[in-house]
Amino acid sequence: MMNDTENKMNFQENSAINIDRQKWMALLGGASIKDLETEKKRLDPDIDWNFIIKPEVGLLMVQSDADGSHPAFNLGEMSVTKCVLEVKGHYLGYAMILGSDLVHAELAALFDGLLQHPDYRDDLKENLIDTLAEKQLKKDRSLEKDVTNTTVEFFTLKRGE
Amino acid sequence: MYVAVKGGEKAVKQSRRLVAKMRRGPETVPPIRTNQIEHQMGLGVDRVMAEGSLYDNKAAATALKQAQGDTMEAIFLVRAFRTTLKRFGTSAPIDTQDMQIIRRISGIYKDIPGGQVLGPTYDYTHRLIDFDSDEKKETPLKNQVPTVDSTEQDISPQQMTRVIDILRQQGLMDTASPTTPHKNVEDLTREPLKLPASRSIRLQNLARGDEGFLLGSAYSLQRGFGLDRHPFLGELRVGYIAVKYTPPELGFEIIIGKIKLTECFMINRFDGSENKPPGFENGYGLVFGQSERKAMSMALLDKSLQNSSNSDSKTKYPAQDQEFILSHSDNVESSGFVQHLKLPHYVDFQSELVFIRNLKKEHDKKKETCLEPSI
Repeated sequence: MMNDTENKMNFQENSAINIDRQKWMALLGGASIKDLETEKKRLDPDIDWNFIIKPEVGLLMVQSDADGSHPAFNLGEMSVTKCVLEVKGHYLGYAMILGSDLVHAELAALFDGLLQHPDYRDDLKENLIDTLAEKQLKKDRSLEKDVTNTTVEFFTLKRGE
Repeated sequence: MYVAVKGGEKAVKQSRRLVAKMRRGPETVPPIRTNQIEHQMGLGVDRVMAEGSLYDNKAAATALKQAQGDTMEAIFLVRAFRTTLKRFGTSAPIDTQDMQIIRRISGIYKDIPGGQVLGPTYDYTHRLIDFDSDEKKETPLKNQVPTVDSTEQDISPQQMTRVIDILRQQGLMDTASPTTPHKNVEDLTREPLKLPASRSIRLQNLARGDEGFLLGSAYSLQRGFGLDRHPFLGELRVGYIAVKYTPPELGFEIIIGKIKLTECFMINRFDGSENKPPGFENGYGLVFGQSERKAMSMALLDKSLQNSSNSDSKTKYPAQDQEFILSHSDNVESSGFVQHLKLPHYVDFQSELVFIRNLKKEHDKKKETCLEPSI
């Protein structure tokens, strides 16, 4: 219990960077493992950390109140993997990602921890986060283009014409 | 009463060996990899996720492979898998208004803000089997049809006004009512189905229900067993939505990932009653993955069950009956009960034999007495 409270305090200490964190956490969760592994190798292959919570697969209930006219309902669950680790002394990295990939959760938590460290932040933002954001944007744009091309104009026909 | 049997370990082991062999097929054909199933049998994977009630592409693909392509067996595997996992929490209610759309159509308005976007659909294909599609001969259509550079259309979520919101703005449909705080939402996976069920429970039940059952039931409504008016497809959307969650350890909301969903609004005319003005009513469908048949069926059934849950309306047909629909929609339950008949019922049947032999004896005796000439 004590440990939990401590962790929480440690996380909230850095609340000023929460908005930044939300952004990079989403990108780390959506990244390919290959990209994360390459980046780790580039940064420091020997970097080490202590697990607070080893990568663990669990569930998240997805709730919806989509059309607003009905009470919220439970749509179904999704598999998620959670990992919390401590890197470089007191930086706590957190990850909860979609799916059951333990390595992905571990790497996402590692980078989340390192991104809070002043010595690594700028380097990682430039070399990892910006690249991931760019890749994501490119992917989204490409999908959007394919989808937009299927926009259709329907015409209503009059009888006899 | 069912009486248990023992034994058969050796035969069971050999049967499992045989099924593994049958599943693998001839050694000359390379085995399928689960990531091939995940990416090339995506709609099958979607169905397993929806009815397995677990969004996990990898688990669903692996289950499909293990079940030799038997969808329901795969769904059963996924349901069993989810019971082994701990639940970390509940997401913030997803907002489909923010959907990254890949398909969006409306059957009631030709010109809708954002346009009609066909996206990936089999609706306009010729339904001819393409026997040339195998491996080396394949020329993907995407290489035959050049992509167009259309930049005029904007399909960003902001542009895609929901069709029911248009009806709401015109005062033709009930406006949104405040939603229950999400902690109090009833959950079918935590408590058994109680009837009459709330709409939350009905929607959860339908969302994980069997596609075939939902489709057949919705079809029965359309054919006149419970629906006297033509329903309209207000809107159908397929796309990706970010699931957000606030881990208690963090204290702020994060995006966990994007999931693919199909959403459907079905519109029905309502001619008005003493308490309610005339207007349109909405049936709602939301399903994991791309499953339009199911989302549409769900929306039709949602509406039909809403009607029958009003105290003044009568339930005449199966698809209007909560108990009939909600108790029979789950294919793991249905297949379990139907298939339990395969288990040994030797003792039960012995008692049937005794019973029927006695009946027969009495019957024969009666016949004999009837035939005896009366003096």
